[in-house]
Amino acid sequence: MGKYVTKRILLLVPTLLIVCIIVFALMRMIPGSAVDMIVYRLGQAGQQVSAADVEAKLGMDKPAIWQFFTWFIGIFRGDFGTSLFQNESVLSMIGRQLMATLELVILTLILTNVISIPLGLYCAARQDSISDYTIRSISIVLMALPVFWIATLVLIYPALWWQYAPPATYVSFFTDPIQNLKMFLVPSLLGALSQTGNQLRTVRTVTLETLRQDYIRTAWSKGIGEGRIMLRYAFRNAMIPVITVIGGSIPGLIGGSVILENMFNIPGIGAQLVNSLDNRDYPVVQGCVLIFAIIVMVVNLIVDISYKWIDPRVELE
Amino acid sequence: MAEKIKSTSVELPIGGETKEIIDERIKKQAPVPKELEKQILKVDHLKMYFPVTKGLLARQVAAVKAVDDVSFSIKRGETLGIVGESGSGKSTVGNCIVRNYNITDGQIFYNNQDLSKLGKGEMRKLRKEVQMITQDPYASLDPRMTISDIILEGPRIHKTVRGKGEERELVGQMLELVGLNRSFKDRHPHEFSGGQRQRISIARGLALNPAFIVCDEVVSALDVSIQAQIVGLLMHIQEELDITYIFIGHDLSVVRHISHNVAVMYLGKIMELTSSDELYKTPLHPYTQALISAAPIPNPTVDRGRERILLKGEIPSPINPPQGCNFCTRCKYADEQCMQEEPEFLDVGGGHFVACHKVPGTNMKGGH
Amino acid sequence: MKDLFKKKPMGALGLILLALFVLVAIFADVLAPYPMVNGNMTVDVIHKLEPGSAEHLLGTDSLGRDVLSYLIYGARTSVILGICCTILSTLISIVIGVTSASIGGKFDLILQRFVDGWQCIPGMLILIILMNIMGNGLVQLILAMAIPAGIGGSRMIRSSAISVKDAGYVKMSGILAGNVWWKMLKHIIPNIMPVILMGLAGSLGGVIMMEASMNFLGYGVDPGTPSWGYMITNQGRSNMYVAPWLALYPGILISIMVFASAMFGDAVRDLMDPRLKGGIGSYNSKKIAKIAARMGKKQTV
Repeated sequence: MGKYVTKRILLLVPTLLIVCIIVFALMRMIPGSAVDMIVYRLGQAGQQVSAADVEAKLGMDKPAIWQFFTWFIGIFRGDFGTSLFQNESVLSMIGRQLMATLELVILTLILTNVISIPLGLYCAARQDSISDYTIRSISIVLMALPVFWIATLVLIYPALWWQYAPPATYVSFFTDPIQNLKMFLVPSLLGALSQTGNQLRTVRTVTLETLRQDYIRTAWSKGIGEGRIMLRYAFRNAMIPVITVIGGSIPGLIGGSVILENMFNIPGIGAQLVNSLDNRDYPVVQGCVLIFAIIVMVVNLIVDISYKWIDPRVELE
Repeated sequence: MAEKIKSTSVELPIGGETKEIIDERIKKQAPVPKELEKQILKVDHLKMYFPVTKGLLARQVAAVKAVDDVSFSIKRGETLGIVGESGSGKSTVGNCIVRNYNITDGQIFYNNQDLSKLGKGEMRKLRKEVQMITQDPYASLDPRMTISDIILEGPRIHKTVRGKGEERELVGQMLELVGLNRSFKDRHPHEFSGGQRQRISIARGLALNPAFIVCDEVVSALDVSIQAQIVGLLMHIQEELDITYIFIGHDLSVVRHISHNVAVMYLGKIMELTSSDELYKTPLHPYTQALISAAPIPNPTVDRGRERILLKGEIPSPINPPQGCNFCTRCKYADEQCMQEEPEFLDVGGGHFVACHKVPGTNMKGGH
Repeated sequence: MKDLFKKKPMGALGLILLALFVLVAIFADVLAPYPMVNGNMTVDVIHKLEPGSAEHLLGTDSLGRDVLSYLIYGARTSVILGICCTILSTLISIVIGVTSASIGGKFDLILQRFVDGWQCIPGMLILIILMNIMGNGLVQLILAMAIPAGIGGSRMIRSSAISVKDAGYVKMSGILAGNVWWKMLKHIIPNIMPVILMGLAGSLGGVIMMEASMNFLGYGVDPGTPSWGYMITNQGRSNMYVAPWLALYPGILISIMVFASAMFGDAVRDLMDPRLKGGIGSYNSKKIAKIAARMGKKQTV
C-alpha cells in the first residue's frame, strides 16, 4: 500500500509538469502585454517607467523557456512568483483567498452528499415507487437549472420582497462562525442543488447494480433486515463509484465557485483569478490555476487510494 | 491400420464464366523463375521469441520461445500440414509467414524473396499473393460490414477492381466459388452460421487472387460434418486455382487428409516432417506415434483393438524448455542423452525428417 | 427511433422540445414580432422597461428591445452554439481518442499524459482564459467550448477504441494490407458508433449550460448578439428593482432546453446500453400507478 502511494505521488510530477506547460502556454497566448498594462497603471499612479525597465525587473526579457523553468522549479521551493501589480508574492495572495474558496467548496460538498447519498440509497431501495419517480424527476429538474440563474433570482427577489441582502464582508469561520455561515450558506446551498441532482442519480444507479449482486440475495435469504443490508453490504461497495463521481465533480465545483464568488462577493481564488486576468497579471493567474489543478490532482490521488482501502480486491498498477 | 478417408468432395457449381476467369487468374499469378518453379516457400531456421517484460520500464527478463529453429519448404500447388497441441507454435509459424510479427531470427523465402527483410511498401505488394484465413469465424468478420464489403476490402485496398460493376462481378464470383448464393452479398455476418462464415472468410482470402494461403485452424471451431465440407472446398479450390496452402491444425486426421506433407510440432520445434502417407505408415517420432494412437478410427473393431500410447508428465514451459530434447519429459523412450542433448533434425531417408536420438538412421518403428 | 417513443416517453418529449427550439431558431425572423433589421434588434425608445402589454407581449428591456423577440433570437444563438459545439467536440474527441488508441505506443502515452494534465484544470477556468485569448464572439465561443470538451471526451472514445482495435477483423484487415488509417476509418470508428452517439446525445445539455454560464459572465458572444445568459446578467441583475421579471424568462428557457437535452440524452444512453435495465428513465405516469399498485410499498430485491 505504501509503495503504491509513493508511486502515485511520484507520478504526479510529470502530470504537474504538463499542467504547468499548458497553463504557461495559455497565459502567454493572451493578447495584450502585461508590460504595457503595468506601464500604464504605474503611470497613473504617478510613476513613470519605461517598458524596458519593467521587462528587465520582471525577468521578462529572457526567453520564454527560461522563464518557464524558473517558475516551474520555483514551485517546488514554494515560490510561485510575485504579482506584477501588487508587491506581494503570489503564494501569499493565494493563501489569503484560499480559505474562502476551500470553505465554499467543502460546504458545498458536505451539503451535496448529505442530501444525495441518503436519498439515493432510499430511491434504490424503493425502486420504481412513487417517491422514487418523484425524487428522480426533481433531481433532473435541479440539474437543468442554471446555478447562476437561481443565484440571480435569490439575489433579486428576497431583496425585493424582504430587503434581504447577503453579508458583503468576509469573516473567517474561526473568527465568527455564525456570521461566516450566513455568508456561505446560501451560495453553498445553490452549488449543492445542481450537484445533488446528478449525484443522486449516480448513487441510485450504482446502488441498484450492487443490490442485484448475489451476495445481497444471500443476505436477504438469511433474514438480515433491509436496513442492515443497505448499510453494511450495499453501501460499502456502492460507494466506490460514488467516490469517483465526487472526485470528478471537484473541477466542476471549482468552476462553479468562480461564478458564486463573483455573485456573492466572496473573496476567493476564483474572484482573484478573474481580477488578475483582466490585469494580465500572469504570475497570479498562473498561480491560481495551478493551485486549482493541484487540488484536483490531490483529490484524484485520494480517490484512487481510497479505492484500494475500501475494496482490497482492486488491483492497481 | 487406419483407412484413408474417402474424399468428401462437395459438388461445387463452377459455371462456365467462372472457369474462364479462373484460367485467367492462374495466368495472372506472379511468375516464378524457372529453376525454382517448384519451390514456392522455403523457411530457414525460423525463430520467434516473445519477450517477457517486468516492471515499469518493461525490461525483458525472459523470452517465450514460441518458434525455435523451424525449417521446411513447400512446393507450388501442394499443402503442408502443421500439427501440434496448443502452445506448440504452429499458429505462430503461420503468423510469421504472413508477417504479423517481426521474426526474431531466420529467413522466409517466398519465390526466393526474403520476406523478413522486406520493407513496408514491398510487403504490402506481396500481401496480394500471400493471404491468411483464421480460426474464429465470429471475430474475423466485421459485424458492421456487408458480405460484399468484406470480400471487397482487399481489392479495394490494392485497387484491383474498378467501378461498381467489376466489384459486383468479383463478389459474385467469389461467393460462387465457395458455394454460397450470390444474393448473400448484402447481408451481414451475424446472419450466417459458422460454416458459412468460414466460407466467407475463404472468399475474402481468395478475392486478391493469392498464390499462397495460410489456413490457421480454419476448421477447428466447426462441427465435424461442416469440417469435412470446408476441407473439401479448400481442396477443390487448390485443384482449380493451383494455390499452395499451409494447413495448421491440431486434429491429425483432418490435417493429413488435405496435406501432401505434414510437420509435427512440439514446443516450438518440428519433431517430424514427411509426406502424409509416410507419416501414417511409418511414424518415427514417439510424439507422432502418440498422436496417431489418440486419433479415433471410424471402424470400432479396429479402434478397440489397437494399442494406445499414453503420454505421462506435463508439457514444459516454453520460456524454459528442457535442455535436451523438448519431448524428453514425456517420452517413454527417453534416456540420459535425450535429457542432455538436443536431437538434430535429420533426413533419415526419402525426405523423411525426424528430430529424435532414438531414430538415428536405423529403422526403429514404433506403434502398430 | 420508435423505441424512443414507446419505451422512453420522457426522452421523446425531450426530443420534441429540442426540435421545437430548433424550429424557433430557424424561423426566428418570421416568428419574432419585432424581427432584426440589418443584424440589429429594433429598438422602441418610448417603451423601455415596461412589463407585458398588447404591443410587447413580454415587455421591453432597458434598451427598448422587445423581450419576446430577444428571447426568440436568443434561441437561435443557443441552438447554433449547441449543435456546432456538440458536433465539433465529438469530432475532436474521435480524432484524439481513435488515433491515440490505434497508433498506440509512445504517441498514445504522451497524448494521454497531455489529456490527463488538461483535465486537471477546471473547465470553467480554461474557458475564461481561452475567451480572454480569443475575444468575445460566436465563433470564438464555439471553439473555446468545443476544444476542452473534445479533449475531455476523448478518454471515453479511446477506451472503446482500444477494446475494438484488437478484434479479429482488424487483424485481418492488416493481413489484407490495410494501414492504420484504413483500419481506423473502416473498422474502428464504425464499431464504436454506439459510444459516439451516446456521447453526442449526452453532451448537448452540458454545452448549453456552459454557453449560458459564459454569456452570463460576460465572456461569451458579443453584446450585440442576443443570448439568454447575457440577458440574465445584463438586463436581469442590473434592473432587478425595476423589472425583475427580465431575469426570470431567459432562465426558464435555459432550464427547459437543458432539461430536454438531458432527457433525450438519458434516453439515448439507456437505449444503447443494455446493462441499465429496469425502470430507469421511464416516467410514464400510468405505468407508475400500475407498478405502485402491484408492488405495494416495499420493494423486494
